[in-house]
Amino acid sequence: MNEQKNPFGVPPGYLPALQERLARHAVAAPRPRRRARLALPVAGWAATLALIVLVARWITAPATIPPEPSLDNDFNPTREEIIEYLTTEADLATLSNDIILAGT
Amino acid sequence: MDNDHHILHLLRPGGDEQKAFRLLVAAYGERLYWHVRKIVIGHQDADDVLQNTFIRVWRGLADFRHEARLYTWMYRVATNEALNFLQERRRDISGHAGEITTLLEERLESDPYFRGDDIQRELQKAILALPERQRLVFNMKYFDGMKYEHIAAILGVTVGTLKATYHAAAKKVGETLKLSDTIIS
Repeated sequence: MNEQKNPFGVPPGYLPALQERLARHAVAAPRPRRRARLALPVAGWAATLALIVLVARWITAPATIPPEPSLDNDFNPTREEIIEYLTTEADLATLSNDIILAGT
Repeated sequence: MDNDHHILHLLRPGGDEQKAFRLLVAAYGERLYWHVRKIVIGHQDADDVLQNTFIRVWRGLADFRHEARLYTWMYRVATNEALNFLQERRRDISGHAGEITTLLEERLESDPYFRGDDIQRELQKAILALPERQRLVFNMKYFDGMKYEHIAAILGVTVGTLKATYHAAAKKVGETLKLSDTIIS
């Protein structure tokens, strides 16, 4: 700092003692463990290993055939519709066959 | 800054980190004190901020990436600590921007270690009335005589922006001083 322009002052003896005090005070302060430097490579290796395991399981897993969607899923007749069907469309023989099939 | 190469050499793996830190304190302790003092004004506050600065430097030394110059990094840490200190004070006094200026003016008026004359006191008051960024730039350029390139690296702005900021600040300070001169006379 330009001494001619500097209007501020300090207590007597402050500046000569400053270096020693700052160094002593800071070095005595606890330092955080450098976890990041250790943790980052470990996390990287773990992620790579997990990815390899997932890919290997995906390759070696038996192919599963997804079940075909049932045509009946979208067919939800009301009670009235069923009664109307039975009374108009179905004969007794078809009806008894349906009842037998439903029982199996 | 020539000393920085030696300090950085000591900071390499297998080097003497404590010795490097002591050299850093020797090289930058007083310089950073004056830098911080002009921001926070009070001696005791400057001392507290400086201690926090060097604790932060000591803790961050192992992770110093050499992307920035040591000089730039040290000033940046000190500046941030000082601005954070003012931010906390601002919160303590209900958050009004103008009140921190009043508080700093009070510190200036009651500072037992202020050794300037009335003109210098008026100059300091005019600087305190500047917006924070302009105040920083004005202090670093006018009092510390720092190069624009160095200030720009510390504050993370372009040299062009910095020159405009400094000229705006200098103009305001000049106008305030003329005004106060008129009031006094």
